[in-house]
Amino acid sequence: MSGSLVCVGTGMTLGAHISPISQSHIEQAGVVFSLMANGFAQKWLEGMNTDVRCLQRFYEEGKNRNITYNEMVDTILTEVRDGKKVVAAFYGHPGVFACVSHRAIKKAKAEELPATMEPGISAEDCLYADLGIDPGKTGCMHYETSQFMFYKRNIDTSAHLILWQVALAGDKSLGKFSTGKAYRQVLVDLLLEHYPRDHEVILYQAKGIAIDAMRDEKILLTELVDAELFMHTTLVLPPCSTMQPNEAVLAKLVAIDKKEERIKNGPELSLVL
Amino acid sequence: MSNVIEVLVKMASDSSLNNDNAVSKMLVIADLTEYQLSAISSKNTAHLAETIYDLPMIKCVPLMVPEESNEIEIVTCIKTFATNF
Repeated sequence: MSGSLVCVGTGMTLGAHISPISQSHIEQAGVVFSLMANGFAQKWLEGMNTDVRCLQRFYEEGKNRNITYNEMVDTILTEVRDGKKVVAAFYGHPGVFACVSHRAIKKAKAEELPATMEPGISAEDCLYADLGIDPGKTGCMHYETSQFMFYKRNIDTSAHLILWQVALAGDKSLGKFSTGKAYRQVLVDLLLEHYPRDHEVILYQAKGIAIDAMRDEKILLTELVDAELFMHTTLVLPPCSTMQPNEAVLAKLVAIDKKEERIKNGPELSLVL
Repeated sequence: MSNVIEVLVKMASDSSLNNDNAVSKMLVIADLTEYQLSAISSKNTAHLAETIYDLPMIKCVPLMVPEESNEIEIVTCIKTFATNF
């Protein structure tokens, strides 16, 4: 019998966010591999299937996460190759800021093994709901914080800027569980090239279990250096400027509108032979 | 599934438990210890965690590995597209 892989998301808040199809995949799997954000969620998952294997054992501080994640992928794929119906369950969305699922699916497909992904409610989804931000309003840019620091980016300060994994800002080693104040100062200096010193930013954390409170702590940008940050803390920078009209594009659109109006209002032509 | 986990699932998924009074009523019939009830009422996650002897330890939440620029595929030709609003 051919094995298969389904990567599912369990959502952010235990018990509140999992989709019926993801729950069904977990319950019916031959083996479930898991990466949850807290012990309660792991325990909850273990109640849904008799063979739940936690992938946490691969993590070690100081160990490059690329190695960790490749080991996780190999562990998952071994069971798929063995003909098992495998489910890999991740907290949040399995395909958002989660490379294990993407790598596992890519590798499975390369070996012609069936592999799919079921979406879950992500931290980003919770952020929009909890903070009342509509990404369609003035736009929204998302970056992994370290990558944002390593590469030159065009920052649009009229849109929201959301930096994920801010507690690991500037980690080149890929092995740290957090970076210190000196790293954060580099990030703040970079942001100060675009935002005023007194710009109010938000530290956000979605709630993991029912009794948790979500975090929406407002601080000044310069206070980020000394702020308490966790692995799952997200930095939200609201816009500090207004959108600037693109006059050239607007002029082109006006010309098209006028042309279409002329065609619409023009005399109806008939062909006379 | 442990009683604590069942209560947490209930609290997170039952829309009628949207105030302290409703939660208190639900907790009265839940099979929890006094310490667990106190931890839930005071929203103390650390105390609640202490009550589950085999609660799995989470060392690290899944974190993204930032791609290097030479690892990123540049898409120059998009043949199909989908819109999902």
